[in-house]
Amino acid sequence: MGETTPAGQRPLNILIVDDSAMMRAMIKRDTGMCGVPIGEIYEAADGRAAIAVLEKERVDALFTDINMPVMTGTELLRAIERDGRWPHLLRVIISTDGSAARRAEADELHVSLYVEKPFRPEVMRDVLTELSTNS
Amino acid sequence: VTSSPNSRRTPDPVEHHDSVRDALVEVAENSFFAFADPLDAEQFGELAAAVPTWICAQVSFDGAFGGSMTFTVPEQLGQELFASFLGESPDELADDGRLFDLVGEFGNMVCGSWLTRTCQRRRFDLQHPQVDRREGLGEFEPSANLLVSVNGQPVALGLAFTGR
Repeated sequence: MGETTPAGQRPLNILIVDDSAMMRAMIKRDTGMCGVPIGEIYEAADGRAAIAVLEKERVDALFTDINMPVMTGTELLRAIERDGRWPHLLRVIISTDGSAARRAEADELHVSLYVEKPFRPEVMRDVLTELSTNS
Repeated sequence: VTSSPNSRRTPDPVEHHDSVRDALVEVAENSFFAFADPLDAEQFGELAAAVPTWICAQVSFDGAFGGSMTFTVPEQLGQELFASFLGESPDELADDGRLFDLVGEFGNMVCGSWLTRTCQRRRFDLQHPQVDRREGLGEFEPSANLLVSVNGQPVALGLAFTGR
């Protein structure tokens, strides 16, 4: 933690939130292939577990599904907004629901990027490149 | 697609088979590096006769309209997708938890992708997939299902709308 790459860029610490362990593994696999320096990768199976991670760890970017038990991705993003402790957290939604209504809702929740499932591995490279540029 | 599922009459799921097939092909190719091709009932029957056990995932959805999608695959296909997905040997069998998770997520992605294609302007809530193992297909009606082969193995998708 806190180390920098030769280019002076600090690796991104990522939190992946999805109720499917397979989907978390898929996102983790794709982030590992993208060539962007990645620090720690944390995982959570729902929004409530994600908040527990945010409270303990330094997380730069959050990748969250929407439809999850216990606390949905939308509820998680609203909770983060209300809490105010993580203003610099980069927020990415990864969901099968790519509807205009859902994207408009994401805009209101300060989501940086919206990735529609299914996605090709190179999409994750593009997302991380953009996030690391803007972090 | 000739009718919107949220029209007043009860929609015919068969009318949505083309868009469901498009969604399945996209999910298979992009996320599971698998290939999907159409099957007719006779071809499906021949392939299905050799399948001892199936994994069935049901995904319920609600939003502009409600219903469920049932996604049924041979257990062997589930294991092969798992192995290719994680880059493991085909001899490495997934336990039920991981196998059910993979098939459920496959069905979840097909359902979500289809809903987005069908009703771009409205949002939907998808329930966590309900997944189980079946010895046979039971009272299976081929004409009511979208039949495809994924990596040469038979796969059936059923669609049902709830009345409003």
